Amino acid sequence: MTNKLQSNISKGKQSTVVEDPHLITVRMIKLSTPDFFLNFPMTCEEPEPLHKIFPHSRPSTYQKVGEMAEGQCALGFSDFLIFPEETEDVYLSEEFRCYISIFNHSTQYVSKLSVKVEMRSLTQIYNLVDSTNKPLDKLAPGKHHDYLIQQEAKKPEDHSITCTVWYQKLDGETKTIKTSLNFRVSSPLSLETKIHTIKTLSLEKVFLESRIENKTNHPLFLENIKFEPSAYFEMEDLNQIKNDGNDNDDDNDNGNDNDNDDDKQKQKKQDGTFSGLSYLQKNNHRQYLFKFKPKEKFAAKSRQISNLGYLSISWRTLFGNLGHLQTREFLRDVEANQVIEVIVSKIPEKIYVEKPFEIECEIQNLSNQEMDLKMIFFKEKMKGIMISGLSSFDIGRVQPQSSVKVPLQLFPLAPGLQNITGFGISDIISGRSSGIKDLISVFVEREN
Amino acid sequence: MQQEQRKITTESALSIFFESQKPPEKLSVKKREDVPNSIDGIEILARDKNWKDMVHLTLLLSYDDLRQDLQVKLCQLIGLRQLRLIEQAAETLKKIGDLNSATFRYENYPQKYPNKKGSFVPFSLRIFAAEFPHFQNNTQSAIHNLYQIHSLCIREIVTTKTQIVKLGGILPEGRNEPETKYLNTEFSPQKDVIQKFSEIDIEETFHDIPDTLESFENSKQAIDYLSVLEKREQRVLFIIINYHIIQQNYELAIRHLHDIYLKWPKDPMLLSTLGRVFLKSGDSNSARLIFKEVEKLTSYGSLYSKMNSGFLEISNGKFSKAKDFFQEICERDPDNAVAINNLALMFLYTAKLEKAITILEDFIRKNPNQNVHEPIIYNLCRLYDLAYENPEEKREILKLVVDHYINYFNFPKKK
Repeated sequence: MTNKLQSNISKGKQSTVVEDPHLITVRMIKLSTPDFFLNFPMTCEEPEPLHKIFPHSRPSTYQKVGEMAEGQCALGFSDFLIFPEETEDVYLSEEFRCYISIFNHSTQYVSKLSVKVEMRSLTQIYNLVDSTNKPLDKLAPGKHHDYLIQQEAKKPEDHSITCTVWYQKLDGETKTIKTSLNFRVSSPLSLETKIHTIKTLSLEKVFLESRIENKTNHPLFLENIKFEPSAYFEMEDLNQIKNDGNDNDDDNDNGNDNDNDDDKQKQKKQDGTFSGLSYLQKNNHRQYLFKFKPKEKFAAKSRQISNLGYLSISWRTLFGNLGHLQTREFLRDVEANQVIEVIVSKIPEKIYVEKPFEIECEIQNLSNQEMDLKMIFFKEKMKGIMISGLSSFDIGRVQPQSSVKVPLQLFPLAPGLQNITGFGISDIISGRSSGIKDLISVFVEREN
Repeated sequence: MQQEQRKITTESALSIFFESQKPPEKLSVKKREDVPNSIDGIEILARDKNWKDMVHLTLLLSYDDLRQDLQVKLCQLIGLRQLRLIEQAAETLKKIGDLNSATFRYENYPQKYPNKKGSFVPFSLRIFAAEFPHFQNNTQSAIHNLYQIHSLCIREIVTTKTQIVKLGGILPEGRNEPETKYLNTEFSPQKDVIQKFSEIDIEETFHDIPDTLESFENSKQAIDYLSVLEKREQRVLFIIINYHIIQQNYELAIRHLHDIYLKWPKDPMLLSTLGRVFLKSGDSNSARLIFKEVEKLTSYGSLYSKMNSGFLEISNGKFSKAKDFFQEICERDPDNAVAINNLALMFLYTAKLEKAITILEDFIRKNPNQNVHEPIIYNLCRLYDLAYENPEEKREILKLVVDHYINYFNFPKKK
C-alpha cells in the first residue's frame, strides 16, 4: 500500500509529490550569479600589541594573488567568490538559473534514469531538459546526477519549474518522482510617462516626460536609455547638457566639426543630466525628457499622428548581467479627423490677476469645405480665467485650408498657473463642433 | 503528513563550532595559565587565536600608565569583536569614555611627559570606536565617523609636509604638492566635513607615536612621520570603501579607490580590486578596461590576469571558461586558496556538485591550520545543503572543519 506524502506548495519553495519509499532525492534551488566575499578585517599598526597578527600592508606588497583576502589589509573586498544569497526575487529579462541535483541516497544502484524539466507560465511552456530518449544507464549509491538550467525570464507572471524523474529499481520496478519550484517574475523598473503638446503657429512640439524607478533591492547600472522615435517625428534627447552653451532649441546643432564621433559620445555621456556613474539606487527614480518635432514631409498630417515611438532601457547588475526592457509605443491624444484647429498667435508677456488681458487666436479650417464658424464659451467650464464679453459670437466664413484671427478679452480670477479652456467652435454649415479642452496654460502674477 | 526537509544550515554549523569553543586536541594552543600576565601574554594568546582566554587576561591586567592601559583595552575590544560579543564591547568603550578628552593627552601629565604634546590614544582604537556603530546596525554613523578621522589625517599630512619644507627637507617623490588639491576636489564626498574641519584648532592632531616630539628636530623625523600618516590615511579610506560597498554606494567606493590608485599608481592588486568593484556594480565594460591595464602592469601578471579573466568570463555567463582560468592558476599555484575556492564554485556552475565539494574538502584536509578560510567554509556549508538530505552525514563532515581552530566568521546576512 503506497503511502502518499505531500508538502504544501508555496512561492519560491520546493514541493515534492512522492510515493514511498524512494531511492533518490531531487533538490532544486534557484542559483543566481556568485558574489564577491566582503569582510571587515581588523588591522593594527606599530607599536600596538597585535600589529603582527593584524598588520596593515599596502596591497603592492602582496606577491600572490589572493593573499589580500586574509585580512592583512584593511580593504576587505576580496577576490573570493561566494555562493549567492538565497533570494525569491526574479526580475524580467534576468537569466533565471536553477540547479537540479538528483541524489541516490540508497545503498543500491538505480538504472534507466530519465529526466524531464519544464518551465511553465500562464502563457508559455519551455522544455528545458528531456533525456527520456537517452536515459542514464546507472546511478551508483551515494552519487549525484546534476543539471544547471538557464532560461530568460520573459514575462512578469508566475512561473513554475517542474522536474520529473523516472528510474528503475533493481527489482525492475519503475518509480517516478516529481518536484517543482515556483517563483514570480516581476519588473525591475516602474515607468510613468506624461506627454505634453505645445502648439504654435509654425510648429507643434511634443514633450515626453518619463519617470523611471528602480523597484529591485539593489542598484542598477543603467547602461542605455534610448528613445526610438516613430517614422513621423524627429526626436531630441533633452537629457544632455551641451558644453558650447547653445540653446537646446537649436535643432540642427552639429557641434564641433573637428570632433570624431567617439569623442562626441564621450562628451555627451560626461555632460549628461545624470553626470558621473550611471547607477540608479534601489527605490530611487529618475526623470527623462524628450522633445519631438514632426518631420517636414509629415508636418501637414502630424496633428493626426499619435505614435511617438518607444523607449528602450538596458541595465546591468552583479557581474554585468544584462537586462533589457522595451516599452510599448507611446501614443499621444489626437483628435481623429480634426477639421478645426485653434492656436494662440499673440499673448501678453505678463498677465496679472484681476487685470483684463487680450489674446489673439488663429482659427484654422483644416477641411476641404468652407465653414461658417461660431464661438461659444461655457462659463461653468472656465475656472481661473473667464471670458470678458459676449459668451458667444459669430466668427464668420472661413475658406478651406485657411485661417482667421480672432481677439479674445479674458479676465484672470486667480494667480498661478491657469488654463485657458472651456469654449467650443461650431460650424453652422456642416453642424460639426469642436470643444477646446486646454487652449494654453498661462502664469498669472500678482501685481506688486 | 508533511515530509520535513531536514538540512543543516550555516547557522547550525556555526553554533556547533561556538558550542565547542575550545581548542582542538590536535593543536597545542596556549591557554591563559600558560602565558605571562602581561601584554606579551596577550600577544601569545592572540597568535593562537584563543580569543576567550585573551579577553579574560585583559580583564585581569591593569596599568597605572594610561597609555599601556589603553593598549590593553584595545586588545580587549579586538577579542570581543572576534567573539562577536558586541554588547560587552560597547560597555568597554563606554568605560574608556571620550577619546578626545584631556585625560588622554600628554599635556595633562607634564611631569611624566615633559615637552610632549598631543593625544596618546592608539590610532586603531580611534578606528575601532569610529567603526563600532556599524556593529550596532548604524552603518551611516560609522561612515560619518570614519570620514572625520580621514579629514584629520589629511590635515595632519598637510601640516607635516609644511614642516618638512620649512626644515629644508624634500618631500618624497611624486608628492611634492600639498594635499590642498585633494581637499578641494569637487568629487570629495567629505567636502562638508573638511570645511567643518578647517575650523578645528590645528593642535587637534594625533601625535601619538610614543617618541613623537613637539616639533620635529629634522626633516627626516618629519618624513618618517609622514609615511605613518599616509598609511593611516590609506587604511581609513580602505575601511570607508568597505562600508560603501556593503551599502551598495558603488560610485563613492569607485571614486575613493580611483583616488588611492592615482596616489599609488602601478599597483596591480589595487587596480584589480577597482575592476572587481566595477564588476560587482554591473559595469562590466569598465571592468574589462581596468583588467586590460592590469595585464600591462604585472610581471607576476599572468596569474593576476588569469584571475581577472576568469571573472570576466563569469560576467559573460561562460562558467566553463572561467573554470579553465582558475584551474590554470591552481596548477601553477596549488596553495592559492582563492583560486581553489573559485574553481570549486565554477564546478558547481557547470553542474558538477560532487567535484566542487571534493575540491574544497581536499584543500582543507591538506593543511587544516592554514587552509580554513571563512568563504571556503561558507561555500562548503552551502554545497552540503544542496547535496545532502541526511544531516548526520553533514555533521560528520563538518566535524572535520570544527576540529581545527577557526577564526570568527562574518557570513553575508541572509533574508
